[in-house]
Amino acid sequence: MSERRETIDCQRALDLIESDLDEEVSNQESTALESHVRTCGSCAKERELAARLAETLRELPLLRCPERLVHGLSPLVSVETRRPKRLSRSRGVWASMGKLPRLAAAALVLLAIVGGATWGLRPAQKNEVTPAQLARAREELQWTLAYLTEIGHRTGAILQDEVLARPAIQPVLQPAVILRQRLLEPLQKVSEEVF
Amino acid sequence: MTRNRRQERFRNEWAKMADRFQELMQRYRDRVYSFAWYSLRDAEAAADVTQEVFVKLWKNLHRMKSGSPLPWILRVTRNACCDAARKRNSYRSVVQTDEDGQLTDRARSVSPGPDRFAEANEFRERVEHGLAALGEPYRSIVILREILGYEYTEIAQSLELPLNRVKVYLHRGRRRLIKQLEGVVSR
Repeated sequence: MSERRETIDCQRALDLIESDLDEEVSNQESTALESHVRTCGSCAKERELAARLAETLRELPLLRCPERLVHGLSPLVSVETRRPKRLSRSRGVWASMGKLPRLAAAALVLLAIVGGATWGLRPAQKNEVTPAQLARAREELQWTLAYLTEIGHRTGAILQDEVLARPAIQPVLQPAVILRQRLLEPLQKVSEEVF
Repeated sequence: MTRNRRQERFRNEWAKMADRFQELMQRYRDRVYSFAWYSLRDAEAAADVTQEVFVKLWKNLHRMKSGSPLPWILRVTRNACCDAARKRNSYRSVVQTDEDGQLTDRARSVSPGPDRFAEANEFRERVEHGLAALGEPYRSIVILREILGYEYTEIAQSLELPLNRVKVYLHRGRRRLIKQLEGVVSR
């Protein structure tokens, strides 16, 4: 029984030379390549060059990174060079503002919140406010006043209770129109005084 | 939480990150530097690229909670090398190829002659020049596979390429190198 020999052309031989570098050729392909390069000078030269290239590349050394680079990067990770961003940021905003601008900012926030809340109550019905809406308005006002009190503590500014607190807290059972009138008018006075 | 406790916690977290960074730098610095050097054939540029890669690693380390950062490091190194080569715009003036991929006379003129180096060294020199003159992604793939010895899967992951395409590009890169070397060796 005669052994069947596969013959390949130069293009196929070049492909096999490549695959051979990765040791991805079968025995049959290897035999075919061997017999081809025995008769083809250019493919034999190509194979020799490919093998020499692969060997040279694999022998290229891993280079040492200069030590000065490592030392240069050390300050980057030093904890002394950094401060927590959150702490510095939160102190920076208030520290950069004076007392009066802080109070003005707080009053504006209050104006926006209360104005928005009472405006939101308006479309319900003519002069009719549901208990749920009033409860919500009251809660929002209490939070706002607490916020203003905190601002007062921090800035040293004094907020007059009779101007803000009582008209805001008491009219729980009164219609929204009165609520808005009692609340917005004093606030407008405050903002006019501030500015 | 008091301010002191917050600061203490911050310092602990920072120290952990710094330890991890030092460990990664120790493990990968030579590989990053070698990758950059063989891409650019310039020690100064390779040092700049290495520094850039590790500064970026430090800035992004907190986002790498789990898994190996190797693909990220290799990808950033490759991109930094491409940027450096583009900015310098002179690596093609050191090693130029004509349309057929042959080394030009100008490239030969800056290479040492055979009287100064043994044949093996000269061949190696030609290979290094030819490698630096290869286009992307062939150059990166040849360096990662043949010099740094990474697996195909690692290269594919790093360069965000399909596995088969990595193999195809490696074959093409080798072919281009061989074509360049044919011109040199036959002379």
